[in-house]
Amino acid sequence: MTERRYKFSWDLLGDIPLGRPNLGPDIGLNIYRLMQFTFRDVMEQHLGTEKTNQIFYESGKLAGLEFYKNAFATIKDFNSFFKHIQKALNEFKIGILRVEEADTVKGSFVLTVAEDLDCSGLPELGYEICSYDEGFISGLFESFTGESYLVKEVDCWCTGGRVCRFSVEKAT
Amino acid sequence: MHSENKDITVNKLSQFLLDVMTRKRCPLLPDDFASIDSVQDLYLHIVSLRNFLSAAANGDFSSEVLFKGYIGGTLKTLQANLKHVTWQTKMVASGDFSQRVDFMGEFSQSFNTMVIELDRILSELVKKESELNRLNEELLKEISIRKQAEATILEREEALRVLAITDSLTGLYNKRHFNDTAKDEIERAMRYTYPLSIVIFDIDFFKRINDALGHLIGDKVLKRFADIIKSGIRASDILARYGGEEFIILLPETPVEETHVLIERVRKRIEATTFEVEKCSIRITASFGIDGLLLKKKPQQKPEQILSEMVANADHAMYASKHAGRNKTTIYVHGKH
Repeated sequence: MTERRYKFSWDLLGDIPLGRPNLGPDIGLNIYRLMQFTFRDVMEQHLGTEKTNQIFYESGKLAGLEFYKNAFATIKDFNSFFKHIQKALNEFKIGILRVEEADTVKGSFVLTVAEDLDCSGLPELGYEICSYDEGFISGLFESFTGESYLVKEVDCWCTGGRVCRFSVEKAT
Repeated sequence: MHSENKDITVNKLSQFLLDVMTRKRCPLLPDDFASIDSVQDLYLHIVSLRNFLSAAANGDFSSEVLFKGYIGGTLKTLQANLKHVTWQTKMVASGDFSQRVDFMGEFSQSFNTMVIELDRILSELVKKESELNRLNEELLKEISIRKQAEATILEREEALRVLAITDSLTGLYNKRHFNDTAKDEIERAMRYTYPLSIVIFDIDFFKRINDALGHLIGDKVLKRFADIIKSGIRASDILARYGGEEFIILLPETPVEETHVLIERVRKRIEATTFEVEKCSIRITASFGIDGLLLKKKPQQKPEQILSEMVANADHAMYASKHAGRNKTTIYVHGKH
């Protein structure tokens, strides 16, 4: 594709105080989910389940890369990295990030996100749903380390868990 | 009847499930119920729960929670929280005191208090260590300054000491130091019956050099003369400037005969040397008088008395050298005068 209309840049987020002087920047989680799940539905109809998941993953990764670039200053070590993400996810009400395991040498981590905005409170569906979050975390790790990371959700509210658990592994 | 059987079955199942929940050893699923899928599922769920709780009770939080639903989800949340706290504890151990727990009730409070206190204590220790290092550095500086001052004082003391015992022109010992040292040597010689000699000598016609060439050149001649004498005697011999152009040597453990040989060598060297001083070439000679210590001295004679006598004798011998034509060495003969 040579010409693109919808290539992402951070300024597409716009000047929210200017645009919404009365309603402000907040929005209900249900509206966010409404948009996301309707996107999923229509995408799946057109492209299939696997492709839909792939698109969500890649979108999440793009978001993670852009978020890191625009929201974080220079981060020196993994400890600071986790703290930054924890704070940001909390601040923007994305979720409550915690670290279960961290092997910085191997590049292998287990993270949990409680009260995840995508899935917490959803009915049990029998499958993990947070593919966008998987990509988002992958984008953050890649931005910090300069290396590619594969992220897989292994526990989700939709599979009966009460926190989302993500396995993060350096891509070989 | 059918209803009775049903009650028995229900009771049996209930009892079995209670046993699974309460007994230490987990009973196996009886065949009656093994074929019922829902009972089997329930049994497996409870067994899985037992295993997880047993492992967790022993500190192992890595057990997999195999079932879903409310209890499974809650267990996983508990597991996630405990693992996260474990990770946070590791972070604290590595020096990150910003870690705080806010999701485990009373434990959170205790954990946070502990971390804050650790941080405070460590900060104090670091501060104290820093202060200690600073004080140590200051102390070292102070010690260094004092050592330098001490070294300077010692240097100056030594310089003063040397000044007090040496003749400034020739660098030889002065008369006072010679006398002090000579007394000790004489005493030692008397105690251990060692031989000892004294030599007195001066430059022949030195006054003429001063008159003809001036005192400046005269001093240079004296200096050069002293150097030659010094290089001709042994390290154990004590050489001093005794007067204007008069010199004295004490030779410990040396009888007069040996002294005579040594002094003759020196005298000939002086005779053969041309003194190049301020574009002048000068040849000089010296006259020498030797006295040896008489070991049969009366015991009550003090070393200073003996020294005085020996100096007088050596002086007498030197004048004998002068009268005999100068540029000579004469040994004082006891009992002759």
